[in-house]
Amino acid sequence: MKRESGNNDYFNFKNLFNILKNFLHNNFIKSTVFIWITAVFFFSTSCIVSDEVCRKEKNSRLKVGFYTAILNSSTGNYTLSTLSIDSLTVNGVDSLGNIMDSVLYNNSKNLSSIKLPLNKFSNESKFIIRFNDSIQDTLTVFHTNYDQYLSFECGIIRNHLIDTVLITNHFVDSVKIQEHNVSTIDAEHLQIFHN
Amino acid sequence: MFQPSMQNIYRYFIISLLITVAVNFSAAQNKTAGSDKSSEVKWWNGFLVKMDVVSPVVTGFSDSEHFGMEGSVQFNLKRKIFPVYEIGFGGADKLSSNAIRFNTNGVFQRIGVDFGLLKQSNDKELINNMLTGGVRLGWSNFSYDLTNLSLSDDYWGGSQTLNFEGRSTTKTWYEIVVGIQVQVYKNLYMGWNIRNRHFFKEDTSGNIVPWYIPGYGKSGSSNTGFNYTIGYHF
Repeated sequence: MKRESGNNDYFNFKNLFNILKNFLHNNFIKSTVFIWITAVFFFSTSCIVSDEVCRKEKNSRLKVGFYTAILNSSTGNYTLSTLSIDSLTVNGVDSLGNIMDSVLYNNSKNLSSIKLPLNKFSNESKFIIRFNDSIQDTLTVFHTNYDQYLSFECGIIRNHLIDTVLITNHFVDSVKIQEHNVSTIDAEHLQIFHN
Repeated sequence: MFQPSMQNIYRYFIISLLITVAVNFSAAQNKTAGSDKSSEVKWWNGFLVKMDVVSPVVTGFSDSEHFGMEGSVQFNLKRKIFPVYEIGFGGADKLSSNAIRFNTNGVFQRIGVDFGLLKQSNDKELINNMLTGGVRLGWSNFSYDLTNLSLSDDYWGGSQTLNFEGRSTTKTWYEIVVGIQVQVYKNLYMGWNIRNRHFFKEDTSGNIVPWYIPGYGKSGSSNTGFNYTIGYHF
């Protein structure tokens, strides 16, 4: 049933095509003008679609999440759960050991993850993280840098590959590298544990 | 939701073109089975040397942002099959909104074939007017400069300017072409064609890529071009 109607459609289409073909043949000049106009239309619209503005994400930041391990007394296993820090202050420390003037996080409340900028012109980035306005730890990230070309409009950006991570153990128990590649792709790179 | 983007329009355009070609071929096959009249057309019908008018005009309008010149030789076999060789020179010199400069020039070549899409006319006035559709294989070996790419670190401080000069590369692509050609006076022909271009292989993201490719145009997965030609028949 379906196939028959399909066949009919095909023949109808073919007739239609033949009519069109004959029309083109008999009215060559007219159809030339018509196709000319459509061509100019195509051409002009293709000219309008020129995008000169960058609309891509250009920042690659290190994302650090805070976790705590909770002991399940009945099974004896540890389960991981995100930890929300009541108050957090983060500062960068430059290669000479001086604290940077601008603060990355200033007494920010109830954060379970932070995003930090890694140094684009050095292989080491150091941060002081102050937990709950009392205890502070120093996070040191050793990384290599590589360039990524986005487009002519956006230019080039510098991404990072994490080599090693060091952290002091005042508030923090341990740190784990979850993802080595720090780029514009949103991912959690480091996990900091506190019990 | 369906959005009528330019890409969709082109897609329908190409699909309808392919259907046109297919129907035409099936019609032609039916005919040869019935009678042998069409075989009277001889194989060699000379060749056409053509120059493109659009590229120099565009060069003028674009303030030499991009420029080009191209010509082609088209052979006429049986008034139905038209093998084509195209050669040209093109380039670009462009400054982006964030002061990046791109500069290139190079020679490009294309080979391909066009097919006559209309039934052969017996009318002497119309015999050399045709609607053609076909494909091209294009390639270009060229070198380019991408300069003044700036990198800066807003937090830690520091900045750097990167320059990539004299990078050479080869690009290949294919084109789907549809066009019209009219005999204006004795051996003088005029015609135009629209072409949809596609790369064979996409660029690896993250690497430095040229903004403009001679013979292809602005870099992108697909691209539409337009030629208006003046030709002489030998």
